[in-house]
Amino acid sequence: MKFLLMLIGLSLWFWPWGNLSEAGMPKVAGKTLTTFYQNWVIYKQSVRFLVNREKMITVSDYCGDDPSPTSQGHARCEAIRVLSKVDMSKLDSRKTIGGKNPGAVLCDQYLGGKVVYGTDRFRTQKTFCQFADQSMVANDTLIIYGVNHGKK
Amino acid sequence: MAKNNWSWIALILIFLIWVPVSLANLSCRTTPTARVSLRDPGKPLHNYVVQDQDGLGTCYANALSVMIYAESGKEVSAHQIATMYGMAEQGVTVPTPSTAGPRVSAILNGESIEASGTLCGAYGVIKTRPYLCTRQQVPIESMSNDSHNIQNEYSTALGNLYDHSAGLRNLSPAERTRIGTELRGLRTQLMSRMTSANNDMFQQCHDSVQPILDGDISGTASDAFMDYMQEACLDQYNELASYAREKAIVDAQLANVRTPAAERPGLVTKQTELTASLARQRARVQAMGTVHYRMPDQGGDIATLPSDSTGTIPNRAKPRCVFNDNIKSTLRKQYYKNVHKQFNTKGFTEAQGLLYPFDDGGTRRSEGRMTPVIQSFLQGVGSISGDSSWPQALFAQNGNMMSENQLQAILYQDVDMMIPSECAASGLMGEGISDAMVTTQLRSRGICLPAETNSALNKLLRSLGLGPQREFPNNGQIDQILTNIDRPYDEFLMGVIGPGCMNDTSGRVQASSYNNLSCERDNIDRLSSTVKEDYWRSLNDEKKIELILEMLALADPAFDLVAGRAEIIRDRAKWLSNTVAGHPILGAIGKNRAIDSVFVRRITSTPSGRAVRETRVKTRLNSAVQAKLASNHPVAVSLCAGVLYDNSFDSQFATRKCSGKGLPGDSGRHSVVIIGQRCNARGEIEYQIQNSWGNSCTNPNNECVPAEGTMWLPESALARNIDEIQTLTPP
Repeated sequence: MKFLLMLIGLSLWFWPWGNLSEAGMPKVAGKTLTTFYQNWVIYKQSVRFLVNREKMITVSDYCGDDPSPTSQGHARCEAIRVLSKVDMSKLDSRKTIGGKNPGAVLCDQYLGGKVVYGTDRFRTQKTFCQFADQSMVANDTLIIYGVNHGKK
Repeated sequence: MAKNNWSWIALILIFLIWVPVSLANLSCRTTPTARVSLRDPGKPLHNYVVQDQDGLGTCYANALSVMIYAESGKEVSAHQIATMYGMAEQGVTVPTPSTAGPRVSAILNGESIEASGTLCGAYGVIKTRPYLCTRQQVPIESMSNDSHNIQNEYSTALGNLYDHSAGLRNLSPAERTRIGTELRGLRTQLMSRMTSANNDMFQQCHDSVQPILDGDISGTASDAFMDYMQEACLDQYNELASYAREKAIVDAQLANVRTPAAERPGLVTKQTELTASLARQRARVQAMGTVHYRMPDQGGDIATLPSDSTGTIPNRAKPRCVFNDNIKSTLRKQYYKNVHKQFNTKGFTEAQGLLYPFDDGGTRRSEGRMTPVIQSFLQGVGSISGDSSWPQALFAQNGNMMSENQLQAILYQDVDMMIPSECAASGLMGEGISDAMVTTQLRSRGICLPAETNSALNKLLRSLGLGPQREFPNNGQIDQILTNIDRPYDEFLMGVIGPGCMNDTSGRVQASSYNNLSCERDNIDRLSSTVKEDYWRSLNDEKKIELILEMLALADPAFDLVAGRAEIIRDRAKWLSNTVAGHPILGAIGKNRAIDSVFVRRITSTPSGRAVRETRVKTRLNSAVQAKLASNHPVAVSLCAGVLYDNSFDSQFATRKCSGKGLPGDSGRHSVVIIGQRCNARGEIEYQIQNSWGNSCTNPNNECVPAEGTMWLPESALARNIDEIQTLTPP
């Protein structure tokens, strides 16, 4: 029994739990802040986003960073509300052929959003999903939340 | 007792899962694997700027552009690659879900597996061309940065236009009339989109150049470098706001009497450090200026944000940095004046030299050095703030000084904007510009053209009905015009050869840097044919029958599994014999890729088949990657996209289907580039993947660098999910 428990412990220890790179983010005492602000230029305008690394969410600053089900009812933005319903298992693989960004396809085909391009000052690209209320969520956030819902 | 039994079963299951995982993880403990990453300083991809292909099915082209960047140091436009490939394939009958034929639009949009293209196929097309354009020189790629999903919309519309137009030559009069109507619709649609989306780009060009033409360099015109400075300033402000937000949280925790005593010392330390960070960052922001925001429906700035705001910016508000006068003055005097002077006194070529100080005899990578103009600017700003080291932060990414290529890319935009003689010659910068399509097209590029190119393009576009004339040509005229069009003008029309690329012989990517490579495909699925045969022979009749039934059910959703089983029970030997020997579907194995793929996947998804395949693929992958990375060449792979975002057993162990046919649980196929390899702490080989889904991290269980668009994937998961390796080999 002890041997098995040890094996379980070891397996958990060696299991490939990954982590996000911490390069280029505000740090305190050598640790990256969990939540920070980031600007992306979208249609020639700087738009501020709130990035929460713990919750794996990048969303319009104004929306806050609480995608919990209890907050959905009074969420300020559509960008937060869609996180409770985005579901990767509904994605039709025919729409992602050619390696299309699955987050962009989710946005365009299932969430009624509009895909917008953002660039930073280094010309790095990132796509977002913009909703009628102008709030935006990063397409990789849609992927992460969509995968989680697809498992349920 | 029952509870105990379940506990034992659970423990045994965990053990059974752990053992193979652990054994797989030991692969680089016994054979040490040195860490290699082509993203490291001094390596070919260190400066590569990540792309997001959005809703376009151009992954193979994005992957190819990464491979060419590694060879040439030039950001070749993936959009141009995909479009050229699509044009080259024009006329080839392509099975798509609804129709056969439209190739360019199918290639761009990935309407089927076949249509989405292959990396080596695309390379075969582009290697015959005398030059390729960089990302900045391809209008549609530039537009994609500025507007709503316009890259996808443009591509679809232009792809359809090209497909239909090319087909006009062989159409009947009735069909021509129909297509002509579609063309008219497209023309209207394109005009509308180009006008609404890009007028402001022309305005920006005008605003930037006109004051310089007037000899006034003290204005507040917008331009590329100023835009960069805007973002750098806002980044500094965001860092300040991030510290302020975090400090507010820590303050609240310390004020809360319920916070455990054991946590307080750590919180106090953090609070102290945050206070220091805030003070330092506040000084930096104040040295630059103040941050304002404005609302789209209200004119002007409506508020000035406090320099350590913890509040949110209202929805739809647009923040901007208002620089202190001394910074603005420094910008104008030490940067623009210098650049402008160079252009006016030494001409375009000499001025280019100003921006390419590192181009010393072909050694194109000199990390961490700045152009003299920027150095001068930094010294000026440093003297204003009294902190000579701080301005360097404005040109740092991820804590490292900006690369030479990044700086050049920013500065080069200003070069395009500052060619007074060229702008004047083209007549595009004067008053009374016609609002015709041709000028709208040119405006959309924000670039001024020499007169002769402008004239040629005018003629071309006018003849296509896209010019200022209001009358659309009749179908016979369209037919004649299209017959006369040849590259590169059709590619220009498709938006993949921008004016900048046509004119700029030094900036575009010359064939000599990419046309002598050999593109090799290693189809991993071929491995499976051996596995398939061996495995098939090893099966007993029951297992064979079960596999065949499963496969038939997969291939045909209407197939009645129960009835099939009943038929087998009635006359098993006959059924099996007929099925194996001459069944119409099984007989197609080896000839029909789709059926073969289904069959192979079924077999390789069984434990024994999977293990054999995985071992072989790992060996093949490892040898290819090690050899290539050692000589600074990346390796492209085709894979099931699910492995990049989905940690489910199905995706990581490749039991999830990858047909791209919309089956339940199916994931799409994708091309990415392997750019690194390492042995992780668990003793497992990991591969670093360069993706084309932008600045993102789509799988929280894998280490990734969002700013680079890279992710480290375990060897096992990768090996299970790939089916082809592609390499570009220099002679």
